[in-house]
Amino acid sequence: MELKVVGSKPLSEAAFLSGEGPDRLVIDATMLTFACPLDLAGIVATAHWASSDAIPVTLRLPHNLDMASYLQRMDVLRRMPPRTQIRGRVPPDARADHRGSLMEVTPLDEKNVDDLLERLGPLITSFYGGQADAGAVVFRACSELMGNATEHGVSEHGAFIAVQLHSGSTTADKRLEFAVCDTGVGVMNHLRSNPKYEYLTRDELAIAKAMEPGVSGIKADLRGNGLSDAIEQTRHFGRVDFQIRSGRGEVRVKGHPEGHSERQLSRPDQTSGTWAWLTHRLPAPSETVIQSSK
Amino acid sequence: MTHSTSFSVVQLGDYPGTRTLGQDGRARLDDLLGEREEVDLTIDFAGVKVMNNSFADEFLAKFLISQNFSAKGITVKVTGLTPENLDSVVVCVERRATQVVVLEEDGSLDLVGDDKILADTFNQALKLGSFKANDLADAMGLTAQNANNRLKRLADAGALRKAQVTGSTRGGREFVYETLPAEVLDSNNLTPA
Repeated sequence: MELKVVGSKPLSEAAFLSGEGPDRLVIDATMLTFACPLDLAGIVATAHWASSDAIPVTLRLPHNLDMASYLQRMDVLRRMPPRTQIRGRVPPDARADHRGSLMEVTPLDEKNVDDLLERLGPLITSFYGGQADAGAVVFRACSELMGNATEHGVSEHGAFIAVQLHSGSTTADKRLEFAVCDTGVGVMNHLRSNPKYEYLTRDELAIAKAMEPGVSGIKADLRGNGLSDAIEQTRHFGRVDFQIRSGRGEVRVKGHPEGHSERQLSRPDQTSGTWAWLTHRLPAPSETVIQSSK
Repeated sequence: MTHSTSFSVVQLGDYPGTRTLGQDGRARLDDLLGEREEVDLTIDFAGVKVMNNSFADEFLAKFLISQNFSAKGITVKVTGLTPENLDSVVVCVERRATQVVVLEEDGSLDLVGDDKILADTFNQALKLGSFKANDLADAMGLTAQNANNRLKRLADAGALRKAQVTGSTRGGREFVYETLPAEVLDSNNLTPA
């Protein structure tokens, strides 16, 4: 099997796991030029999924040394499964203190989720500064996604999160990017544990269904508002891009203060578990006046 | 004698955001109350920077619907909420179709929930202070039965204190209702009111 990650943000775009050979997984990042948190957490989650099935894993590092250093800085190399073969020039692990602008690829489970939220909270709220309401809704969205991963996405292979905050000084806009990749049962299998949703047979339809208010695999407990709240609340404070992929399906949502649109896709590969990626941008001062969720 | 007690939510974290933590907090609340009766409980969110809706639901909303407060003489109010955390409280109590009294920063009391009729009734109760069902019925132009029904719901939700009148001449059981004290304790320990 090969996962070829090429160019900019490949796992959020066209990259997919190819090849049927179960004897080896090669993650080829030689042509990677820009990685978002979904790429970082997704690479590590894919490697752990393969490794847990005793499939040897090879990671080919980017030719671009800055990119390789970024993977090193974001702990991708450190979080790969034991005995992963690293091919390419391993950059030195020299790191400046960027605790205020990123969270490296970090394992997530039910034991450490509360501690991680205590780290993530200040990171997000300080990024939004005086806009406490915007910071609060984005924190809530990320925490709901982490809660989903630890409550419904539990597996022995683990889950991983990564966060990157872009101040706008080196990028086109000021934005927050958050990803959580778990290796659990996936959205459709979780929903189907509720007899009400046993009819679901397509992953993208199951993901879209899970984004509706009050839809949960847990029956009769007034649950299942986390994803719809995440979309509805964050879009009131800027532009939000939200992707969820699970099994052979994917749903992409674009939200803004006036509304949101959704695209359902079937994927050529199989995501073992659930991957969620959220990008939130505050409007520039000249853009739409921020609406209050109240 | 009525006792007052306060539960500080920040002991659970500055950024509580999981259902598991909410369950833990709810268990601590239950432990705090134990088998006690006649308690004015204040749930204090001061210091909690941001909580999410799942935590608020698991910790607060499920606690509110878990027991009949009136039967134990317990009243409940929440305080110390930032505007963002108040949003989460409103969302969770509305989804569970329940109510809770919020002590605002300016010392005023507000009933939060999705029932406007009960909110109006609570506001009228605040004006009356200590009263009987007939007083409310007169003030709001309700039948006695209707006033009793509303007061029962408010007392069951811990929004009013309810005590049986002894030696009533009206026949049957008669109750006197009181609104909650609008002050915050700074101790987690049970103290006589």
